[in-house]
Amino acid sequence: MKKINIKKSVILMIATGFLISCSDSFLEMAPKSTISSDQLLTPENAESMAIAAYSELGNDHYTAPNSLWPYADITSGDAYKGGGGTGDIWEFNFMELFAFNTTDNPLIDQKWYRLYVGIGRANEALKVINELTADEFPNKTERQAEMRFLRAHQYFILKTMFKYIPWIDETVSGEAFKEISNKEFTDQELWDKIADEFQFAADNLPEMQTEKVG
Amino acid sequence: MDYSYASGFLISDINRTTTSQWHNLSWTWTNTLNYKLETGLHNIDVVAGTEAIKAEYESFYGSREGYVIEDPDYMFLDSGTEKILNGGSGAGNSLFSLFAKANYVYNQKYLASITVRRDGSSRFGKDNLYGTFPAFSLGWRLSEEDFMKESLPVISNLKLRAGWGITGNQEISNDAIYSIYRTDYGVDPTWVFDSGTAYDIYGSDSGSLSSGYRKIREATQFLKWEEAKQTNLGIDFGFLDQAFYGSFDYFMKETSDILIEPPYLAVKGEGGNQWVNGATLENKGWEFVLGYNKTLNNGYRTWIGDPNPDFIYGLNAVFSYKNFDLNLFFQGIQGADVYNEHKHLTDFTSIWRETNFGTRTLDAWTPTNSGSTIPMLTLTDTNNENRYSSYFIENGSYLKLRNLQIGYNVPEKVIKSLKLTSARIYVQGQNVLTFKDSKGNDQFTGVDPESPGFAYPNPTSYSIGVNLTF
Repeated sequence: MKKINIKKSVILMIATGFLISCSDSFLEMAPKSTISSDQLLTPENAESMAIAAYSELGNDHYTAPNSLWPYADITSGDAYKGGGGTGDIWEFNFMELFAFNTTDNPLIDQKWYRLYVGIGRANEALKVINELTADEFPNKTERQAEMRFLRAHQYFILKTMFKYIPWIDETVSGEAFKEISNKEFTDQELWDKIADEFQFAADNLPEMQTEKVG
Repeated sequence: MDYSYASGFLISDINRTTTSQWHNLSWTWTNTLNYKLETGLHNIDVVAGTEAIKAEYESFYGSREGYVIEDPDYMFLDSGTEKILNGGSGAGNSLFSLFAKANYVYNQKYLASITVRRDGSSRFGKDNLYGTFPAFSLGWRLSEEDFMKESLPVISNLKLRAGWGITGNQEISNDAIYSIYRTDYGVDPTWVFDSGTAYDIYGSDSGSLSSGYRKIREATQFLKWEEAKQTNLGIDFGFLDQAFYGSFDYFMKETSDILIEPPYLAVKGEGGNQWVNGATLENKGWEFVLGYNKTLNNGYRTWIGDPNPDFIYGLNAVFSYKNFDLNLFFQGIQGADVYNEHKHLTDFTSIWRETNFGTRTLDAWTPTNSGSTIPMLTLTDTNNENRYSSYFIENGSYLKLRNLQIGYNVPEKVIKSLKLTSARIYVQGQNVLTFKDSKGNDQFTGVDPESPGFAYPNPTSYSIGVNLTF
């Protein structure tokens, strides 16, 4: 370059300015159509979380039904599996025959998971409800009692199906899940814990639910 | 549009119209500055620039049922009388990059190149928005050296290359780093689990349901760019004025911090998913390309592939004669094991009773047909025949004629009068032929080894085309 053209240099500098002008805020993209755990900490959302926990009572699928017919009615001889043949949900077929009852039966794992989903919903609701004060959320104790009842209901089914189960409550998070053993409590201790949850609910809920929520 | 129907015992009296709209808009803003310098035997080329990309997606739909007349002219949403539904969603991501590249060539023989990129993505947390990706390569055109030109003129091209670089990957969900909850008004629970969050808490038995939220994902603040480091060494060569040509490459690639969303402990319940930089992968291989060029417009190339689990090969042949040209492309894999799920239905009568069975069962083992490897017919499954077993593992090797094209270039005298500079008519076929392993113990018994679990082969298609240049 022999001569430095002033006009070109100015244009060059402005262009360079544009080049580096994008700041970090350009790279912030909020998630769409979702709500974060902080946004949930309001009394209205506490009610919503409780509703979600109730909702799980009715969520099932024929591969892991809430009626529990494969785990009790079929195995006790009260019912046949039915369906389109022995290959139609073969996992229940072998439970019916008490043959090939291996520990990796996928639908037993499915039921285990769905029961913990139910427990998880109650725990998520409790996480929100526990954070609110009684002033902000007048029904706090009653909702806690309801959530603990729902959770104990799921645990009861888990206990009858699996005997030794990890006890997960609303204080568990992150890496702590890996540390909890299913043998932490004895058979009787687990029954006692479930009974305590039902007792708390009995002590803190009215005989007749006359209140219309919200 | 869905219409009501009655077919045998299958009856549905529902009619429905669903109208939906979605769009995906993205803009890219690129600025580059280029500087070239040539002095004596030096040749320098420098580029610097920035690039910003933003993409946004939005969709919505409306639907209604209960149309009095089942006719497309009538079935617009306003005329629907029942089950008014709607939905919508959105997503977006953005990228910002700074990059610079410099190329240097000395005396047409010695080559060096260096690149640096700094990319930022909205998908990663504040601490890890950016990744830096450098790369460089060196080359030496041996064939241009005087001693080569004088002593070995038969070598028309000989070039040594070495390169190293890092590239990044950010292909994850747009909201991968956030802990998110969603409301879920429930799905049709016939085939998938109902994961709904709505409940008739008032016990009113009518009206709209209140709904809650369920957890979809667990947050992470540690997520960062996935990186692939690759080293490449290669030789390009050619003899007799490029009549024979080829290249040999050896590469070593290590991909680290691979972004995955692994399975998690069931006791976490819903939303235990979390994106992590969880895996590392190492790839090593060599690639050999050989070609032959005949002046009569007749050439072919063969690829011999990387002998890791699969051995992949291809053959491309081009022939031309007068105004006709023929193009053939064969592709195949050798030595791949595939799992033929369809064999449950073709070989067994005990798994899915009261259904049709495949014709292979006619050749099942009997005391008079003892050479057959197909199990004896029975209606009772006492061995859980549905399980994964080596019986279903077959040889998935195949050779396919992927592309066959015959073309004809219309002669000049004809097209000149039509004011065209060129015209070509062609007939093309894809997936025209399939060869599979049909002998031996692990012969492939299904229809198409490329899609082992399916009853249908990959489709063959034929097309006719015309290319016109004005």
